[in-house]
Amino acid sequence: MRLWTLIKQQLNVAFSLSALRWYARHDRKKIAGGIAIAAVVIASLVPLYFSVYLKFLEAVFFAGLNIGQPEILLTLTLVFTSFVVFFIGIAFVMSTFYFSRDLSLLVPLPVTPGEIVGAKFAVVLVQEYLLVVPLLLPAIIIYGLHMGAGIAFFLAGLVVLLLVPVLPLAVVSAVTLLLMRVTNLGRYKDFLRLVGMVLLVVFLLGINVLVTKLAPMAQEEMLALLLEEEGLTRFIARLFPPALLAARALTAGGAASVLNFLGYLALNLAGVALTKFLGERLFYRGLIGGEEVSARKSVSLSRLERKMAKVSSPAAAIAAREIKLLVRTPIYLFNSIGILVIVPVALLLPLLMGDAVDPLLAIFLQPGNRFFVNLAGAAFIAIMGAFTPASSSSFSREGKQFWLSQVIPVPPAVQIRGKILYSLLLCLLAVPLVILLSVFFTKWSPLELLLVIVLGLCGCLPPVTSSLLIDLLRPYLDWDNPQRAIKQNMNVVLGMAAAALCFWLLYLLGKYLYGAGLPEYRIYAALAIAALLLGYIPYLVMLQIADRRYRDIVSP
Amino acid sequence: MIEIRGVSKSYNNGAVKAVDNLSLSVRPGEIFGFLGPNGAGKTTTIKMMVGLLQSDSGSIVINGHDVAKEPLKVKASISYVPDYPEVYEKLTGLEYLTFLADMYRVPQAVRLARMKRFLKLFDMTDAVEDLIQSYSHGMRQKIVLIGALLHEPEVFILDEPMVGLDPRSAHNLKEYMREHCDRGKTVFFSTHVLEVAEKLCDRIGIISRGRLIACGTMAELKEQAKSTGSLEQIFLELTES
Ligand SMILES: Nc1ncnc2c1ncn2[C@@H]1O[C@H](COP(=O)(O)OP(=O)(O)O)[C@@H](O)[C@H]1O
Ligand SMILES: [Mg+2]
Repeated sequence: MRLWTLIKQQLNVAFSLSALRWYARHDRKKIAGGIAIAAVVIASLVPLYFSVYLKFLEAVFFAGLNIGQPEILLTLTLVFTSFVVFFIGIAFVMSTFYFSRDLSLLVPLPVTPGEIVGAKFAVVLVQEYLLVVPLLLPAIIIYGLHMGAGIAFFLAGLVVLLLVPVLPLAVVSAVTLLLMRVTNLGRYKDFLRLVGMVLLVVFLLGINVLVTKLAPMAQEEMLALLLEEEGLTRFIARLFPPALLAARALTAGGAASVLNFLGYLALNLAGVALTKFLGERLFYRGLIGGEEVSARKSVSLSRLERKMAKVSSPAAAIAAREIKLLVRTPIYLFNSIGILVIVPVALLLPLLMGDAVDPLLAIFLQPGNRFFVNLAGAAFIAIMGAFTPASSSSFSREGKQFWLSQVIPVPPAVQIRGKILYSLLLCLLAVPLVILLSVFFTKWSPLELLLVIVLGLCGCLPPVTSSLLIDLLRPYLDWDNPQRAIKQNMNVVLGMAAAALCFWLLYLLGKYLYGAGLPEYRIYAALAIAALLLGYIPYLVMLQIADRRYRDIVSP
Repeated sequence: MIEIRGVSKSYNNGAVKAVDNLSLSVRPGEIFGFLGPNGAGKTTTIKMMVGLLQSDSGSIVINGHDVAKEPLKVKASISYVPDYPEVYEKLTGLEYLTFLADMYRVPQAVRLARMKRFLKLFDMTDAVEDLIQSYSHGMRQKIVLIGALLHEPEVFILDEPMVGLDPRSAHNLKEYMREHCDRGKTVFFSTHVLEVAEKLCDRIGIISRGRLIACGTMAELKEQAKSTGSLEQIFLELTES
């Protein structure tokens, strides 16, 4: 029962429940403000969600129904959701297990390491539900309603929904526990761990590819297989085989359903047991010594002098400071750059799967679709830019060190320019990915590639400046644990919502211009200009308020 | 030089009056000690001087510039060492120093000479390439001190600077303060340690519950308190009640 107490305490801390209760009683205004913000976030995401995601799910369902495999919708979303849980979980697990400050309070308590890991696991699990529910629930409802399923289906669907994140998280946890134990090697620890994380992703995807490749087959065989009963489902589920059990548990009916469900349940329980087992044995050994940093000894005077003599302009120096702090704080690194590392690997996956995807790609890449392919490339860069919380937590991350920014004689406008510069530099990291994309799939000409990159970087500006503005308006400085600055910072969510809104506007503009029959190059130009304008407005607002904000913000 | 006129500041919507109608002036070439018991309002006053807090009323003029109206001009000519040194843990000491030198636009040759001198003075040369994360409290304080000295500020403002420094560094700091003032610059520091104030300062201001209750040279203070004893006695007499 200690475990249960720990879990409750951890959830309480992670979601600030006590603080919320206190505010509910003492400061209603603050609560109302929080609710208003949440409403704005949801309202800005809803149109995108309904018009894109739900429509997509419906389309998948009817496509499946046409070839007599309606369950494909469930398989697809189950696999997809499992993957999302998995990827998001890597940074989540790493930060929650190893980089939360409360560990120094928990470790001396008379609880076992397995119990701490269990409680932390529960926290990550609950956070993952926030993603799993909106991704998976509509698929279950769409399938259930169209197939006229009964109450039993929906109940089973609910249980499966609750189980979905368990196994991927257990795998991530187990591997993370191993990784942290093996890389607990002092000086190059952080670097080793980042490399380890990437290798982990490559390794797990590699297994998938291997499984997929085990039985090479000809085009006709493949087609025949896909058209078999459950063919497509089995094919997709090869990416994450347990999803097949879950899908069958929901669709097979009768005893088959029950058996598949039991199998799925057993797998999940086994995953949890494995995590607990490894947690008990490895957790402390990966954790302890984690705070130690190496002190380099020998100091050569001539090298020192060279470094001392390096002069930069204030804006450049601020950008450089931001980058150094980001790269050297593992939790920031995993969150901001991790996604840029994981995506290319995921991109390579279909390539390695070879023949199977080629026909699909060929359709997408038809000469007539070139215009859309180019826009998709640009959108990819912009979305990658919007997904790194680098700018939406830029002021918050300064935390208790914000006083320095307030006392230096550098105009706030210059400091903000430094932050924009640094955010755009991070967006540049998406460029190699696009080049990779081009080499393997889209085969852009150099001119097209340039167009995609320039357009994409223009598209990065609105998310960068609008999320910086949000963070300037309500910086979260009073944290004692870097993970709070980025993970429990509402501004990160708000920033993404603002980005979604900007992209939505750009999408509407593009759609309108395309409908109006404008030549393609004009649409590109119009979108680029619109993006720059959209990005310029928050910048102007920041310039207006910067001096006052830097004066009024009381650093903790 | 520093001109503080009628400055007040309260926290929590007026519930706590931290600084109450405070006026004082510090002349160039002076070491001014700002003395008071815990919670007297020293840190609050200093934060208002360096632009970290806004005063509710009154004005602060440093080197001829009003802190509220020309903050950048004030900031360029002062430097500030806080009581608790919060610095970027993930930078090395050297990176922190170059960052500050860039912020204050210290020319290359000058920063090179000063960094070398102060690193040596505070015995930090060996640690300067380590991450600040690995520094002890005193080392952090020293790196902030060095950073604050790189642009040779007209007015050097320190909050409880001797707390946490080892005796040799504290001694070197005091020596440097003297030297700084001999060149016509100003030092303003707060402390609750009487001996430091007594030995080092040209003039002393005593603050208690947000009010300046005495200000002047040691001789003047003694007269004011009608006592012939040490600063400790004066201090106790004045801050009592
Ligand atoms: N952030 C704050 N919020 C509320 N009260 C504060 C805050 N900071 C200081 N105070 C109060 O203001 C008074 C003066 O504090 P301070 O200036 O820190 O004193 P000193 O530096 O002389 O010890 C104290 O009563 C203290 O409790
Ligand atoms: Mg103080």
